[in-house]
Amino acid sequence: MDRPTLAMPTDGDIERVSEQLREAIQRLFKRSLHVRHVDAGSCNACESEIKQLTSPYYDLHRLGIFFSTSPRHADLLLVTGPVTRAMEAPLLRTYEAMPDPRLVVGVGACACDGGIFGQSCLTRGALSRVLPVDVLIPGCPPTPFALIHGLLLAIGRADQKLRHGQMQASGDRPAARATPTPALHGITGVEQ
Amino acid sequence: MQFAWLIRGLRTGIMTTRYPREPETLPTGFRGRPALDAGRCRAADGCAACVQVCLPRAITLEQRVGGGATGRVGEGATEGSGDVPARGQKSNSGIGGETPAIPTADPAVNESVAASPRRPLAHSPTRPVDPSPTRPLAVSGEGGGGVRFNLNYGACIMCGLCVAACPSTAMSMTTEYELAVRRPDDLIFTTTLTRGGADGGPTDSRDAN
Repeated sequence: MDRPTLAMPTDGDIERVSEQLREAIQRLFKRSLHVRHVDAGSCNACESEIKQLTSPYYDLHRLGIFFSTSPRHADLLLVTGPVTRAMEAPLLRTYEAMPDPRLVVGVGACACDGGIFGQSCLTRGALSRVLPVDVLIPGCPPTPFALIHGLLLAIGRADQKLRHGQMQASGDRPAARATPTPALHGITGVEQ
Repeated sequence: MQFAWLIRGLRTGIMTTRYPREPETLPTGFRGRPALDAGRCRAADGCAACVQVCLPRAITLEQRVGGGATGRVGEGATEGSGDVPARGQKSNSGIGGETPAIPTADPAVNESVAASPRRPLAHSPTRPVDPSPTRPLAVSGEGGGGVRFNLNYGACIMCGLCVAACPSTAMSMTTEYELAVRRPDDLIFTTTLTRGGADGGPTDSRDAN
């Protein structure tokens, strides 16, 4: 076996190692995740939905996900907007300030594909042109439920439903429970 | 004062959703992702109503020239489109079960025609760009290879205009919102449509419409 064969990993090796790495990262972040949100030129519709995640109805904290005010404390970078020219450098600085391992999630049609802004001299057009993206959440804007699903997908607590543009049956989540635990519902029996 | 606050809280109960553990039922009228019933779509017969109204150009049509195994991806197509038809073939067994697919040895498209005269809003690996603004408004399936229908959920804003415009009610809005993906390619729905009936194409539910 010559030296390049020994030194260069095969595609299978890389795939296996990356899968192991992803599992390790998901194990680390599974129960406690701190999110740093960066607005990279969004129209603020996505921000409006992200803000709802901390409201009593969605209550992201019950899932162990918290918003961080500093990238140095964050595990996940939540990016909205098509990455304008002015925000590209701050976004990269934010990413570099985050400790490894770190996840990147793009929110909205703009981060996925440029959205209504598209690619121009002022915008990069998609988050994947700037940073390695782990999860993309489409929608204009995505509902808070879609955001929760995307965040849980990033940390391995949800299954990806959409593959090649088609919805697939969920594997990990049981079907809707017919009788929710009474203690967790309203004390006076109010239906949710 | 505080007692009244407590009473109110007890009376209201728990408002928080139980979403990740239970599927959330969204109100009627909620617009999730649009879905195509490929069996009823008439894009191969020259219809491009959804393409014309699609604001973010999430829906595109491309012409496939009959069975050509020698073709290469046209200039209009962009990087990454080479493997799109392969996925399209694979996904044909899904939504519109009887999708009349044309299996070709080489999935490469001979000629890529984006069926819209407008300039593209954005150029991305997931979006075909038509180099000239004088492209035909609609493509036809006369080449024998049918028409490839692409829907990019990454660009889609779930406005529902394609559903309103579709003359054969092939497009419909669903309430599915769990659209997050790990790979951007998973956001692209691709299927191949062929002309029904007249040219001896596969018969399907399109004829009944």
